[in-house]
Amino acid sequence: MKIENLAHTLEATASSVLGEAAFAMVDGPSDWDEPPQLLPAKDMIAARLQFQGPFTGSMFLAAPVTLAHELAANMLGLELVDPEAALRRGDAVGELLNMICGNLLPLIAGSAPEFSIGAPATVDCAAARAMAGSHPEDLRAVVALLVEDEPVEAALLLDDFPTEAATLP
Amino acid sequence: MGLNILIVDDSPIMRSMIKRILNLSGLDIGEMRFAGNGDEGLAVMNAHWVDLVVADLNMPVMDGFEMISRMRGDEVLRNIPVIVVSTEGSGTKIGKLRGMGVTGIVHKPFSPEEILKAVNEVVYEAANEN
Repeated sequence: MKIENLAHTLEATASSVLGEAAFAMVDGPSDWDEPPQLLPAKDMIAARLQFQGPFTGSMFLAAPVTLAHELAANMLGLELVDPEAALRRGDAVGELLNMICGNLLPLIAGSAPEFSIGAPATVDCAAARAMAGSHPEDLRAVVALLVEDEPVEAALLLDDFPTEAATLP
Repeated sequence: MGLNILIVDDSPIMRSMIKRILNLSGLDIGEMRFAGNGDEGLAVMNAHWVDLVVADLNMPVMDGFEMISRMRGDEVLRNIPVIVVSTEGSGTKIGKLRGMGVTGIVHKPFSPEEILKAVNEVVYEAANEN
């Protein structure tokens, strides 16, 4: 896979996981006229995880607090007013990130290689954004999605990108 | 007697999702227990009667592979059927699971129907073997 195709693959994988696991309506860049306005970091819940394998790196996913609440409720089949939905909104973002990562890596590397995916942890969104922003451009894919009309950010930050992976379609 | 099910996953929301699916399934369920990693899972199995384990693979402390491997090496636990619910996409790891006798493998994200299909198949297989 060419490094420039990573963003498109990340966007497609994130859209698919958010739709299937959390029953969310997702609009990608082809659906909007202008990129969504990102919310202040204090209004977001962000999760990050690291992975190791034929190549290593990390991923992060950030969603507005209100959306994270809705995603948790959808995943658990709860009403929005149910207190468990509020309790689980960080877990929801973390688990969705875990699913996005687990589904994305085989698309990049093929199904034979083994990866070890670390547990997702809730992180400060401002710090996660800064980390993504300062990562080398040729080793990162950062996408914004509109999920239920709210802006969601996802990033894949690679430490290295082996030639074998770069030759995959 | 209902099925005693152990759900082993480090994600609280995933444990809740699987619990909810099983509770709404109409299956005759006895006790449902929970563990956050393989080590805790083995402790539950050693302390309580468990008919079916639904487990993740990537977990801290002890992952799902190690837990299943220890189950298969234990006189008492070796025949407990296991369903793996994971994001794992590596064909090599899936092959390793099948080699450990795991027939129920559900890929995340999953639908409730996929979980129930796996439970029904694995429980049916286990009943036929006994």
